[in-house]
Amino acid sequence: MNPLLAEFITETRDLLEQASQGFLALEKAPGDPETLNGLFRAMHTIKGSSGFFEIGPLTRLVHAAEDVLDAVRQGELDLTPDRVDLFFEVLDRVGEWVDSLEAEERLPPEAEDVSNGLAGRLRGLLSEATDEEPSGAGDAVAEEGDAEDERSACEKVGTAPSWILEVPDDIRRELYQISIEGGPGAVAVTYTPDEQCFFAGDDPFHTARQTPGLRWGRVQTREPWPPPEELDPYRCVLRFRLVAAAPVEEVREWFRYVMDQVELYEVAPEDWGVPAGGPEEGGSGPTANDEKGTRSPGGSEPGGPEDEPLAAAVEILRAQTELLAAPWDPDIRLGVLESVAGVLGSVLTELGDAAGEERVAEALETARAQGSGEPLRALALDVLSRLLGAEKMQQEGAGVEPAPQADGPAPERSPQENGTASGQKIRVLKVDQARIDALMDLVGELVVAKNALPFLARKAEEVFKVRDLAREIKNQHAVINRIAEELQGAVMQVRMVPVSHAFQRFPRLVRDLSRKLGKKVRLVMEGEETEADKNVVEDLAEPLVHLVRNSIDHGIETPEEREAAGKPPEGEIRLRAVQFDDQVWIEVIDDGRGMDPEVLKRKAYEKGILSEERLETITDDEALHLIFAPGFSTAEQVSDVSGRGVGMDAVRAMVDRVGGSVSVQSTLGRGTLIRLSLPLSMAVTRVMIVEVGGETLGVPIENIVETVRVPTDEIHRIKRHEAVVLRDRLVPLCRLGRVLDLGGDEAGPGEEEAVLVVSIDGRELGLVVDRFHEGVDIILKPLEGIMAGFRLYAGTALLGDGRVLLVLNLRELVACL
Amino acid sequence: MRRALIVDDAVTVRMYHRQILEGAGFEVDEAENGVEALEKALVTSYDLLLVDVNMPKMDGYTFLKEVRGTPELRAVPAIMISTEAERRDKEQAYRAGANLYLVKPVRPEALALRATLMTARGGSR
Repeated sequence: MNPLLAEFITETRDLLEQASQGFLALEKAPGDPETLNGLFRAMHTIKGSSGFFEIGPLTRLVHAAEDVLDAVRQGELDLTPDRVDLFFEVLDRVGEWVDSLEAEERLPPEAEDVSNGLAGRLRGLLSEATDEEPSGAGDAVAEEGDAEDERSACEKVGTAPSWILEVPDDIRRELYQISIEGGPGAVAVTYTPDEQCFFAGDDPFHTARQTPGLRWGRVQTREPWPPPEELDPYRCVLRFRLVAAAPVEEVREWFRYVMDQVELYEVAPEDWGVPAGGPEEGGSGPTANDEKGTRSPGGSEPGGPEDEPLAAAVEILRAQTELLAAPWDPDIRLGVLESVAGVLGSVLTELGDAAGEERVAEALETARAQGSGEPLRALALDVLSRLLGAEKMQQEGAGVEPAPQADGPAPERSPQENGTASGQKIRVLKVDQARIDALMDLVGELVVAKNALPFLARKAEEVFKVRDLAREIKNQHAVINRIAEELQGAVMQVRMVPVSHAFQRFPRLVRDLSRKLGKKVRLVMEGEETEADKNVVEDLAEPLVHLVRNSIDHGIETPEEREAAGKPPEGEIRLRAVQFDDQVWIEVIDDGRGMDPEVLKRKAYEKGILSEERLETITDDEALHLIFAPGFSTAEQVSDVSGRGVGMDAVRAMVDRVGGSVSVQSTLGRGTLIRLSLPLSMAVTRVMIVEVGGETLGVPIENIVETVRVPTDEIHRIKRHEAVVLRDRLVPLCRLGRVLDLGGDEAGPGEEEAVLVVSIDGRELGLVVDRFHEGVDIILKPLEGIMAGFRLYAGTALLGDGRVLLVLNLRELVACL
Repeated sequence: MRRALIVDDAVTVRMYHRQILEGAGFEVDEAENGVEALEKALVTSYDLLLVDVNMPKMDGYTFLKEVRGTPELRAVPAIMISTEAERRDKEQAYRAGANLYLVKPVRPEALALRATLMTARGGSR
């Protein structure tokens, strides 16, 4: 992608985010000038930067937003929540378009219509503003052109109506081109048909459509449409804005019967807002665009249009005369004079006028003495007239060498000198994620491959009896191990992004939802700078939305309920990210009504999620985790916000997928905390290897609480189950050998059982195994094909010695007990 | 080598103009707003200022007036670049002491050429 476009995309996303925050801030502190200025600037900047690319609909939409914000800034318009909603809609659309630019380097096809629709609604606000405050006739209002006194003036000589800048770029460029090439010129027409015009037999639409040389037109209403029952279809409230490429006389002739309802303006070439510069060769327009969207600046392209140095010099000299004649403050006079002198001297030197410097110095001296810019202006005009004469002569092909150029080389020191934009330092590298992923896969394989070295060392020692070699292999393993770990760390670091990426959308979500549900909610975010793997952060966004929605919908009470419970009417939702070892904890904490374990148990039983037997033994803590069970919902009423309890189920599924876990804490009447524990990186999993009946199995390390040896006489039998008391907790036991039908030895009386205590969703379980082995880093591959049906296993991994390790899926194991 | 200072709050715009000016042989510095630009201009001597209008903290007009009113800076040529093509915006730029007013987006060749023409003496000094 063009780096400029990439930069634009990043910048615009930031600005949209800023704007979104700005609007939220305005709701708390309405009319805050700092925030308003910030918002205005954000739109302004997007508009400005978007001009580099062929994305007219986007430019025009943010332009409209900018204009409305300007009116708000001037105090002509209030930002009601409904209007803020409209702005959010605009931000969303622009955001989507930026996504589309990133994906396809162009706007979606419907952008034009969407832009017109939204921009129209925005500009509709402006006419509301004129209604709200008819006296506040700033420039913006006057430009609307519907003030009575202006209507009579049939032909305006003043400034061009600003709306001509809304004319699409290509048409503006074309008209500019026509006018500088001595074409018929262009006329901007504002046609405001009389309210009673239908009775006079006028057909305004036809009149407008048939305007001679019509190139562009837009129909608008002069006032917002009244409700249908009040609409008077015989009253004309339309306004036409038209641009015609025709001589003004011809246009005037066409409108002669309605001249009192029409304003004509003869558009000068510079009014088109087409950037300065000499005439263009056909094809590429005067803006920095080419057929692919942008032209890379810096250096001139072979065959590309070249600016005429003489024309540039003329433009600069003209600008100096205008600057000298401008009504600047007296205290910058010396600055103006000196800078003009500098520029004049420079231009003359460039044009090869050897005596130029001296003349400029003299003129500056006189100007200083007189305290006026006149001497410099006279000099500039003198040079100008000579240049223009020279230009004319050149055009006419007169073989006379123009005076200013007579004794110097032609000013050809244009950008060709440094054709390439080399020497730029690259500090930030943008890399396709697929490349990083490929790198990560390789690192993963390296981590596993190096695990083969200890086996090799043992083989060297035990089979080939070369102890020295074994030792060297072990040493080498240590070295490779260190490098592999650093490499893994480095690659992981590349993929780390702050979780703020996932948090960004929440201020908006919380605002919209709480408005919808009639609740007052304050969102507090903490630890947004905490980093995690890009994939984890991306996958996090959706579950978090479910959680926050649930908190607002079910957790936070209505303001009335809260006050009755002695709480502040505004609820609080806290989004917090913390790094904890090699995990990231993302917590959603609300101070709402909390969850009642008894209610949860009863509901789960009624819905058949909980057996009668489990109902008796389930602890309060375990009961809270029932909210993640499929098909569970505690809401008395199903709302359109958080659905039917599928949300929390989905949350757990997604957290499982990235190898994380969920836990819940809740205090009735005080609030709820839901914590997602996610791995920092998903590429490498650490498991502990256990042995059962001669088979080795992997158990994810994040589920393991402790390993203990339990004398057989401490194992209690409760009904058909076995359990053991560990530090005052009753931990049920599960004999893995029996469950998995692997056999294995069971300890006799007076012996000890090896028990691996694991925790699944807050529930502890002791796995009885034959032997514990070491922990290893593995790359977990999910089971595929027919094997995928074996839900008891989360997947397989290749061990260093080439064996395949099956990794247990503990949640499934618990479920089938 | 000639030195230019680009004053604009938009990264994209700065990047665009930087490429053009570097292509024209300038050494380029950037500032995000008028305040930062003034600080830089007082330390480094520039041959050209390329100034945006709308910026946080200090806008382009205020910045230019400050420049023209400060003895050490006042003679530096300045180009004001704005999105507005209207006459009154142009007039306001001259009022603030701009030597040239260009409308965004500016064609690379056009800007390069104008910047070069306006700073010929700066380069030879």
